[in-house]
Amino acid sequence: MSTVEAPRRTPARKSQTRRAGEWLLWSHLYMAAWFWGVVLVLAVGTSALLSNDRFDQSGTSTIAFGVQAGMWFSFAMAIALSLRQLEAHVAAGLTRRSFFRANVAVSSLMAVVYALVMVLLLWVESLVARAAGWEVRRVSQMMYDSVADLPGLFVVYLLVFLVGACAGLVVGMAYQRLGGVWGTVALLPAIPPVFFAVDILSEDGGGWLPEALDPNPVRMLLALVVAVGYVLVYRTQVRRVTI
Amino acid sequence: MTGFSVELRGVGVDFDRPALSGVDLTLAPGVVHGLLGRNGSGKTTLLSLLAAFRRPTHGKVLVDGEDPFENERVLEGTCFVRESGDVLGDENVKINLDFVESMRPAFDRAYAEEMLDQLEVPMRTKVESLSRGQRSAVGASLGLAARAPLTILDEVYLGMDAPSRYRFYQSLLVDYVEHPRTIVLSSHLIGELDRVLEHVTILHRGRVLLTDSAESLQARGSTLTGSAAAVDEVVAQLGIDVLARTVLGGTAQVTFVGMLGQDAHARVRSAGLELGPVPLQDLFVHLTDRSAAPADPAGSPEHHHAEEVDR
Repeated sequence: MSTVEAPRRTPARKSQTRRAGEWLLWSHLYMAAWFWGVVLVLAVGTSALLSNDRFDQSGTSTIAFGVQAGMWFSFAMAIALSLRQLEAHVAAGLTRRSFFRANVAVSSLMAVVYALVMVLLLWVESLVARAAGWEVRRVSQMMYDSVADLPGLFVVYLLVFLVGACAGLVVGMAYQRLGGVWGTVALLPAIPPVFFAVDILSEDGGGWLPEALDPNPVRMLLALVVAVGYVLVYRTQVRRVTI
Repeated sequence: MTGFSVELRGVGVDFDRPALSGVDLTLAPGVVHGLLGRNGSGKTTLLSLLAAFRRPTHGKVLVDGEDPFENERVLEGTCFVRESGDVLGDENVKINLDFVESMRPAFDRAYAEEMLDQLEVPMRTKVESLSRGQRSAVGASLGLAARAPLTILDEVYLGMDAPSRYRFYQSLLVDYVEHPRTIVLSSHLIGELDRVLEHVTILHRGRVLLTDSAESLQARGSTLTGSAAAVDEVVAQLGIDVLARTVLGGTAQVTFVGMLGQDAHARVRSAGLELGPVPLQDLFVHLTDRSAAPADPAGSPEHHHAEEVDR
């Protein structure tokens, strides 16, 4: 006969955050693989159509259109995958604190993954385009001329995807706490900061900033502040949520 | 002593109206407790507090001496299975086992698979596509296999058919003997559970109506069985307040609350009647009948228990 003794301290093993985070990460990666697979197929198909003389070669990247899709997809996944796991998470004896940490960590990591895939696809697209004699330069209202521009684009995309995912976490928890109707109403105050962040990260965004400031770091800092704001709201929402 | 103890002091939970109010309750460790109550009596709300699914509006909840809310040690030692399951509904049973196994280090995967096999639950079917009884079986299996020092099963066996329920009760008892811990079972179907329970708490309208060992609870009432004519005659002579009466052919059985004095015992024996323990279910029905047992001190069960039939 073995007895079930009350553990006096947590034995050395994976932290709750890591246990929950690993599960969440695989779910996100699985969905992301589908998403980027579809984006790739669409991008190849669209490029093939644009290579035909019937279409004007406008000098715009087709891959770049994936940014908006990627941002809203990560927004939607943050809602769906975090909510899906919340009740099972607490029922499995894990704290809300670890749920919050796991979701924020995984959302940040997935923003890195999405941004990396974006710049990788852009780079491949530019190689293909140049080999075909096209001029693909315009990317998300920003100029992309060479590989040297990729790190800057990576940071911008990272912030865009991060803001989208963090907004999704907040909206998801609003649905959890308020139900379908009021959760949808909560979209009204929850979404505008996303538009603000996307706008300020665009080429002509932040025109209202004081001229004395270097606009690029300030624009990125403001987008980061938006993401941090979402995380703080999310923390407040999760802390005492009823299961 | 094994398992977690539970203590509630002046606990209240308010929704639109109070769901629980002034609950003082102690559950000893290493015991199979039954939390009984009618629908809406506050059973699930009370159990949700123990597993930190929600916080009390008033009062204090202690599990193994500590507040369970956001308490990593206590939560890892607590497993609360609701009828709703709280699993990944859009995944199959096998993936749910993977999930719980990766989250609960003490989870006994082999035991869970064995129990699911016994309860005839398909492993490759999504949980949300299972029948209600099969979903209940998934919850019950996960709950027992978690081997948590505080295992709470809230009406998990409701959807199961009779053979599955009896298999579950049997598995529960065997597992409890092999791995003693605190187990809390809630139900309003008491007839099948009374042989499993060691200690019983009855909730009524958000308050604790009584809490006692199942043995002494059953001793608070009795049944009289014998020929219908003799039973009716003795009941009339002793002025017994009958809770329930069943007749089969010429044999009748009556259930009543209260203790018989020596004279009454002699009268029963002389009439050739058999005296037995009261079924928990009959006692529960009597105590929680709205007209018979208002949840206030004047109508408390202690009042009923004190009466002695010795006329």
